[in-house]
Amino acid sequence: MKFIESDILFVKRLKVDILLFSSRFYIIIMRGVWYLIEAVISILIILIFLLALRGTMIIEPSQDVSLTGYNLLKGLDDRGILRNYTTSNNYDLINNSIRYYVHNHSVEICNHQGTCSGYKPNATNVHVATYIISGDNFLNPYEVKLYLY
Amino acid sequence: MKRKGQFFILGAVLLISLFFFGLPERDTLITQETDDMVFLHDNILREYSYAYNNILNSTGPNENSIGNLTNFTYYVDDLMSQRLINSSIMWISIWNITDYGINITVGNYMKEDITLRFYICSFIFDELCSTERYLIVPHNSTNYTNITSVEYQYKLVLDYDNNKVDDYMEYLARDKTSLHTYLKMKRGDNIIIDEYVG
Repeated sequence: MKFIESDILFVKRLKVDILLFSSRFYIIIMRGVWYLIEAVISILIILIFLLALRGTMIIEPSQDVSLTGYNLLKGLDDRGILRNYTTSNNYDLINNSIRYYVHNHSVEICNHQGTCSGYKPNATNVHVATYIISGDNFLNPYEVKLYLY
Repeated sequence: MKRKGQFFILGAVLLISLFFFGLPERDTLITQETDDMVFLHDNILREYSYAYNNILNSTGPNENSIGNLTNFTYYVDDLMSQRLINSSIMWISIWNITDYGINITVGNYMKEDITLRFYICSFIFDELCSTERYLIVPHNSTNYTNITSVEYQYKLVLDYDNNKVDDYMEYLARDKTSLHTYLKMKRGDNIIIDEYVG
């Protein structure tokens, strides 16, 4: 079987065309893959950002933390500690007597004139439990606030 | 290969970082669940008997003790108002004034005038009761009555304003001081009513 020169030339050109096309196709495909990877990374970054933002703004509704705080203060009162410490304005001793490790806690004591002493936290998602103390041996009402944060 | 996408990612990271740094420092957010009314109610009812004991320790049962109890009631009412709780409080204080007599003083902070109906029954003979007596107590005030002849142990049966409160204080001793506290709290649709005898 004999090929004429034009046929040979045609085959050569075809080979070149196929090679060129496949290399261009490869470049296009690879460029697309890179764009896809970049898009996925961008979406992930935005999602992480949104989740982080959302996590800082939502108040935990899982349990009634204030009720826990009230029970902690009531427990101290039942143990005969709270009244004495409150009327002597000893918020540190009250705070140190609380055995609770789920949240940080601090105590503030306010007298009947509204003057408060103690530590009020400057944080987000602070739960406060209030306990009223009428006094110890004589009437001298106080409000004890336990902050859980 | 041109690398334009990487710059977009870098730009996004920079913009997000700037946003985070630019966020204003939020004020302290203090949350207090609506259930606080339940434990405040429990706390106050218990505390009234402590308050009364504290008052009696310093003044004994007399007009001054009633004044101090009134002050404590104002204090509680003020604290509840700060928490948007509408509190209604009534207390009945009883102490002996003579060998056989007792004083019954009623403090009304129920946001309405009340008429208290009461009678005293014998502890031994349950059917043996005194005639009914009435005590009108305007809102935000106290009123009292003296009963001159009471057994050593007795039972006080009381209600006010068509059985809004219908209760009795049983096994009271004539020579002991007693306090009956009635507390109603309301915030929105939530209402808690209970009483405490101490």
